[in-house]
Amino acid sequence: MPAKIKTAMPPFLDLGGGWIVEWDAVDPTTGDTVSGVVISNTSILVAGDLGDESQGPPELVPAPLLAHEPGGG
Amino acid sequence: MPDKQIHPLGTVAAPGDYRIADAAELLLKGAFATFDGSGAAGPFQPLLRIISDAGSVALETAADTTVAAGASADASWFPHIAAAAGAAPPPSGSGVQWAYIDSKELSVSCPPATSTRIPADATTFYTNAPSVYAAAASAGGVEGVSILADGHYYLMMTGTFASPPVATDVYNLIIEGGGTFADFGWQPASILFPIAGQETGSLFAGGLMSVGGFITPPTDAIVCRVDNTGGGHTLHFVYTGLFIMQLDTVNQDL
Repeated sequence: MPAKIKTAMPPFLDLGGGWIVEWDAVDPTTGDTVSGVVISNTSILVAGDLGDESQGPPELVPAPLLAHEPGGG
Repeated sequence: MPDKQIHPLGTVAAPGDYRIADAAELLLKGAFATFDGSGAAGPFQPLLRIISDAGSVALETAADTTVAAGASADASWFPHIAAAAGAAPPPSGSGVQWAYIDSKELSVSCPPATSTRIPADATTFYTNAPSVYAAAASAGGVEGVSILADGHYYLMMTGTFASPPVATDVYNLIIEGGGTFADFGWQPASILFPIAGQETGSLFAGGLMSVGGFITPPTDAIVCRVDNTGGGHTLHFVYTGLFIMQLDTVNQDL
């Protein structure tokens, strides 16, 4: 069971295009990246205009059945 | 507009970057990641880093908790939480460790040219830190408060005269204690508040005291003392009580 760690971050971080959110694992003494650490399950909670991110896959909506089709009319 | 959750990365070796799309403008409200340290080269702290579009680091916020090599952690970042506690947790229910002892509030005669020690009442001793303070009798058998831990302390003693002194009276109101009875009055712990003349309202003596250097814990009980040094009249003093507050835990004489 992984330890649960919570850390403060500033509120109101307004980030524009081209900015980078980076997760890292650093040495407590040197601050250097510790090799061999694998990151997964990343997620961010955001508000605002997602730009390209908001363009999800197009929804597949069944077309209405035509009158001559079985069940149509 | 409701908040949205984005899962920007798969499974990557640290560090993992998510570049915000050019057309986007996001208000970042929180972040999460699982850090698998089973193959880590050493202990590590999860860190969230924001890098501007100019390529420079705008901020870094590292967890206070260090994850041991071989261990894993689910790390969350969000605003408005306090950092983890440091080395010493605050006392339960309070950020200040204090004690108060009431007196019997009786009028005590203080004859001329004498030092009179007035006992407090151990049955009315209050503290939120019994490891720091205790009601105790001084080496001279006078009830007061003993300090049990190193640190600097603020002390305040209050009282009043039952009958007003005359204009020619001279007296000292003293918070006495800390060392042996023979030392009283002439060590850093003693607080002298000389008064002359007709004081009819409430009186107080206050000051700082250090414990852990010259005076070692547990201290001799800190008590109220009235020196009637002049005027030739017997004074009648009503000791109200003594309040003590620990300012720090530093062992350094004043």
